[in-house]
Amino acid sequence: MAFHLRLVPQLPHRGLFLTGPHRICLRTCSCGVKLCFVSKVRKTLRPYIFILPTLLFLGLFTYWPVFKSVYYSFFRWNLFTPQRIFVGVDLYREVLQDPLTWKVLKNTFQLGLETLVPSVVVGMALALLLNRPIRGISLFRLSVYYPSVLPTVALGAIWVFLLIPGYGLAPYYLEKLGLGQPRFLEDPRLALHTIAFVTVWKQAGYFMIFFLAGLQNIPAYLYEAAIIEGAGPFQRFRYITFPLLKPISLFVIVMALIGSVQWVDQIFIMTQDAGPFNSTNILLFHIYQTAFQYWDLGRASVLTVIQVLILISGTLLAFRVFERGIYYEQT
Amino acid sequence: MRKYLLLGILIIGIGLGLVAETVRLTFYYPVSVAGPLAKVIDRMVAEFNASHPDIEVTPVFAGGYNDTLLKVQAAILGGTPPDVAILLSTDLFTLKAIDAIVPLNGFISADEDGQEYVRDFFPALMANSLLEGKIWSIPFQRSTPILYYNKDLFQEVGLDPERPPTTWDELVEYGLKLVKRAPDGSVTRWGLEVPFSGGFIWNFEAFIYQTGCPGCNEVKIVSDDGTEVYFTSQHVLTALRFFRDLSVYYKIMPNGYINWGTVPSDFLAGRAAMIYHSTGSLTHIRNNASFDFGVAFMPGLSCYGTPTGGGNFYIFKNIPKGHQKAAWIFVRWMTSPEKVAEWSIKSGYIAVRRSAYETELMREFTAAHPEYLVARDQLAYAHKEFASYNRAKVTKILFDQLARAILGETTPEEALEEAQRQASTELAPFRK
Repeated sequence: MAFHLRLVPQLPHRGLFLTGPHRICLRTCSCGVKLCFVSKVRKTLRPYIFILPTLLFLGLFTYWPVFKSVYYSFFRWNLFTPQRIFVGVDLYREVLQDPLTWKVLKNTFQLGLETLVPSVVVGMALALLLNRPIRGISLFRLSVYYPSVLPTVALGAIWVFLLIPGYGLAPYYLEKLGLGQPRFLEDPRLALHTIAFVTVWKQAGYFMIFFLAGLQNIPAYLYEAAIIEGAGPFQRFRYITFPLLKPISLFVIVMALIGSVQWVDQIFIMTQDAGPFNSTNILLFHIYQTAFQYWDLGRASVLTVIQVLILISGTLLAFRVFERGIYYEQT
Repeated sequence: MRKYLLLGILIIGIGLGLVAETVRLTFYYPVSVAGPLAKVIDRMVAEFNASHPDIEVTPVFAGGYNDTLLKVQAAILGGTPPDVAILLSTDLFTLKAIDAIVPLNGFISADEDGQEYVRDFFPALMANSLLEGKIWSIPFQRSTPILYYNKDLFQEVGLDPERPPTTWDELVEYGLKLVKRAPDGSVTRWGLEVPFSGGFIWNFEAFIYQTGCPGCNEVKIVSDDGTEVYFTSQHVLTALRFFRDLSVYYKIMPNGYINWGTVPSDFLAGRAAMIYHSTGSLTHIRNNASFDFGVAFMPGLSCYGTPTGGGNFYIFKNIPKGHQKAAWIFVRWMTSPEKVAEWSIKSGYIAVRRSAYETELMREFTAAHPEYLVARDQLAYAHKEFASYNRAKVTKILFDQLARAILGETTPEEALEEAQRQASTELAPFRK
């Protein structure tokens, strides 16, 4: 049955039949060779028609800009050279020789790691905690999920307020506990960790939803059997829950991985201008800075190409993972 | 029925005909200090429109300074430049590099009182408008940093509350008395806080200018054409050493990142006894201080010294001549002595023209609040704000290197040499 969705290689040749009036005319026919012929073309074309709107927008707003960025990355193009000059890979050399580029890349990966692992672990833990029939469970789930609904800009501003040394709630109570007053967003050693913490706080609830869905797909009879066999709670987790959550975990990890290079709002809000001495400057922010504060569009394009490469590797990883996930369910 | 319809069409037609005769201007402006200033601007524009039936200005609030510049540049690329905008006085080189603005000399000489008008502005505020012998912008919302100090705390530690520090030595001496530590050594009150964040070197500039005097030991950290910087000069080095020592050696100021926004709050909460902050914060501090405070010039080494800051009016290129003329009328109206006085009182910015201080409104106000005159008087020691081509990048380079020296990653000498090297590379394409 899936045959009708296959692409027909001769499509352009047959496309001639699809000029407006022909199609309408033939569609009204109810029998005959012509109809079959046309309907085959229509079948071939149908998926394209369905994806056309998406394709149009993706093409216009994603693929075309990506292509343009790659193109511009070979040109010196900034405030003083408004007329682009082709310079080959010169800009790539300049960007790769800039120590700031490496600091930014290091920050990007560090932030990725520091948000990825805790959000997945916390998300899973929350899901396990909230996957039981307690009264008012929806309320708990809602309260955990709530941060991920808030706009990042708003919650960034709230966290800034909570963390201000001297007035914020966090430093106030830490001082009462005799821990001094950490300058969470002003200290270059702490700022990136603080950003990571807020990000985890925001997205753990979101991942929890996936884990909850995963948990509810695990058949109850497995647990019943395990209990009859005398398995304790830890063993049930170790041998049933955890392995069966694997596909969903992989999915969540990939989502978090790709997401981690795209976070920029909270950096913008919480540490203006990439924080104390570039300590929270990540690639995406650096692109913004280069393009719209320094007006160096050539270099910004080079950085964009780097970002795209990172994202493509992430996506390729995602595809592999998805394939494996499916195999897992089938075996 | 049809009659009414025809009548309606006729009225609309006449209406359109009338509208077509008025010049419609787009005016982009930023708001970057606390307070409902967008409303004040909108009200002033409405007043202008009411008194000028042939011109209609549409004010567009565009965010902070950088957002406004972004929007202006996007509009220029899109082929619909605004007619007039308020942008940083230091954006001159950027706007000139993209060939976005017109010099204002033509308008000035066409006005009967043009020369008189220009001379009425404080020269220090006009300094950033000059390039290649022409005037490119008209000062509007301008400020300088000033010293705020807590008189109650001065009294508490035995200092004379009517004698604020005037020299760097006194600043340190007072700071050491004012700083307060808990038994475990942690600081509960800083002697001094000077904002140092967000790639923003404005407050640090003040220290540089304080190392020299106009006339005898002139401080120059950038060439007039904005293509060369002199970061390794003795002035910058002296300033950096002192700025570093305030936190590292004397420990009267926090080390490293000091957030622009939290400095006034620290002052109001009594966590900092003295601060350097914009004159624009004066109204906010006056309204919220639960203690007696004073305002004074920032202490100097050889002389008092301060940079100016803030936004000017620019008129754009590639718009009809009629629009440029109307924009000039608008700028003149917004910078008339009465409007300048009104804007200064409502915003806390310095009144940019001398004659504004002679208006009745301003006389009454400053008689009641003499602290508002400190910034004006400090203008005698003001330098133009650091401005060069590629300013955002160049100041960021300097900021990052200053930070390295302050955090002890390198020596001040090496940091400044590195800043000079990097900045020269950035500026190389702009040297002819």
